Amino acid sequence: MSDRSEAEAIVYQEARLLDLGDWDAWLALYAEDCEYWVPTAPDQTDPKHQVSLFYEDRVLMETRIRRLRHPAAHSLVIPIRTSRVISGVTVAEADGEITAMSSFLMLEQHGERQRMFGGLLTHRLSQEEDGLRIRSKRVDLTNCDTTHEVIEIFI
Amino acid sequence: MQAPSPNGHDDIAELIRPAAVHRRVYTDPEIFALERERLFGRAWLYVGHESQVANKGDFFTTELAGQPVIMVRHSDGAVHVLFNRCGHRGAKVVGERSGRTQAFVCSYHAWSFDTDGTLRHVPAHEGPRAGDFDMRDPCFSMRKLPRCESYRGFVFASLAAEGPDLRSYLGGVLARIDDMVNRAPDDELEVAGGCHKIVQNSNWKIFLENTHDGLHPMSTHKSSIDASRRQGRTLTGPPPFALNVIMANNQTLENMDKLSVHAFDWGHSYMAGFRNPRGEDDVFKEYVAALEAKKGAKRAEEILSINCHNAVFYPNASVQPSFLQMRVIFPISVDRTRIEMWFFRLKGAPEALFERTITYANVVHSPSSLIRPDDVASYDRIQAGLAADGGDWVGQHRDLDRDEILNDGRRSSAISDLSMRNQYRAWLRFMSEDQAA
Repeated sequence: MSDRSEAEAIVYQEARLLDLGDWDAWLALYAEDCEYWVPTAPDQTDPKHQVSLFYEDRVLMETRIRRLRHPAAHSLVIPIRTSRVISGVTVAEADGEITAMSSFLMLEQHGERQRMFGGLLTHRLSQEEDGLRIRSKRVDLTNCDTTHEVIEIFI
Repeated sequence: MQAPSPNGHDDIAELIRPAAVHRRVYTDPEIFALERERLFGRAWLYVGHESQVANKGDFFTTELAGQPVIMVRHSDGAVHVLFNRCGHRGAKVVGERSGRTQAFVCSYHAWSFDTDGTLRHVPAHEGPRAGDFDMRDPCFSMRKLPRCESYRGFVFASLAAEGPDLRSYLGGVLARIDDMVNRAPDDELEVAGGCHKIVQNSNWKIFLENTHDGLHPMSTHKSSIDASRRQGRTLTGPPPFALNVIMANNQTLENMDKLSVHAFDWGHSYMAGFRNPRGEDDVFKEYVAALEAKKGAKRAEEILSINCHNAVFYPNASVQPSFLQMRVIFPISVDRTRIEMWFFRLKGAPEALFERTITYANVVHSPSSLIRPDDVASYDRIQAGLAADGGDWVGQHRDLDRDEILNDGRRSSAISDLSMRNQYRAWLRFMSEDQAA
């Protein structure tokens, strides 16, 4: 099914574009009306009445990108570098909605600090005019409910 | 010149000048250890909110001065704060963050305690083999902290048996708790929405000194201010609440100078607000209607007119009353600090209003906040820079001797260093060896 391989390709491509820091190309993978969610609890169902590590619509995603590019972002005088590994992509289709799930590990280096994030990605995809786009991305981190240092890059 | 050692009253006093503090207060592990004993060991510390233990048997575990404690609702309705420590071999009894129980049972030898810490059952203790063991002896219980008091649901405890009562201790800053609770149509708050948890590689006092720092937003937060303003200009309608929260940091020094800071004994203070806590949307209007229905239009307007940016309950808590946010400080070491952020629902307000509190929480207090990384970069740089022998003294001189003296404290502008000098006045009072709290 071409949709299935296209869905898998988007998951890998998204990871690569984030690692490259190619924000414009990355955002172009997302539908206009999109959502980016990293919950603070496993099985969290409610982003409106429970806090989240990230809960952003396109407006906030674009604002984050503007800050990442800003010359006066003091925390970024030393840039952040990431490397992601995606594995075990499964694609399901139900009621016209395509969902891709995958496991990931993300290595992040910021100056001398190295840290790792990992968990489960859920991409909900929709068929737009020019191909599949990401409607929503949910990141269930293994360390969703622990104490974190600041996080600046999309996970 | 030899720097003063921290042993004894006079040496501690040498670390604090009227308009500067010695850098060792931020960098010396011995001073950190002394703070645990004399400051956190004597002050009233915020523990949690009564709504976190709403039902009999509910418990919530946390740390005070690095010691594990449990806040629990006993069967008679009273709230106790116990040391999380078995009376037998000293094991931490409760492992979970929170829950409900009829008894605390230690996993090691099954010693069983009532929820007020009283030892109730010890397996196989009868007879001569137990020696002089008397299980009624309070030394075998899960002991309560020496003092525990609550103000309008906010529970505080102290590791010291002596000292001013909670109301005397908090003084003028108590009004900021009233500010929060009065906003609820039902005059009650409820902790809700989870908790943000962040760790910073800097001394806890650097964070507290930033709370009323009106000088820093324009420069520190330039990247997030510019990003949110430019984003706002691309939108056809008004900016969403989240963007307005970020943009509001764009305050000129002239604007900040017009905002006041009030400082009180024991290190507390509050600062006037620069973000608009009122909404123009239907949800906020529904909330105002609910508030007016319970309290009348005049009283509702009085309550809603108060705009406080934040308040410090020295030494371990800070609230943002208009947006129902609370920060609790957990110093880990001299250069590492953990902060938990908790949020409140206004009882009697429409549930949709709570969504504003959660949005604010994510934008400002999430580890991924666009605002936070630039603050943390500053704190990290202070901690790193102070390691350099480029000067022993850290200045707090702005508007020195220009404080307005009030009946219950002092007032100055949000670009003065009043709140910092006020915190160190309290610090010195606690840290001086021969003074009881």
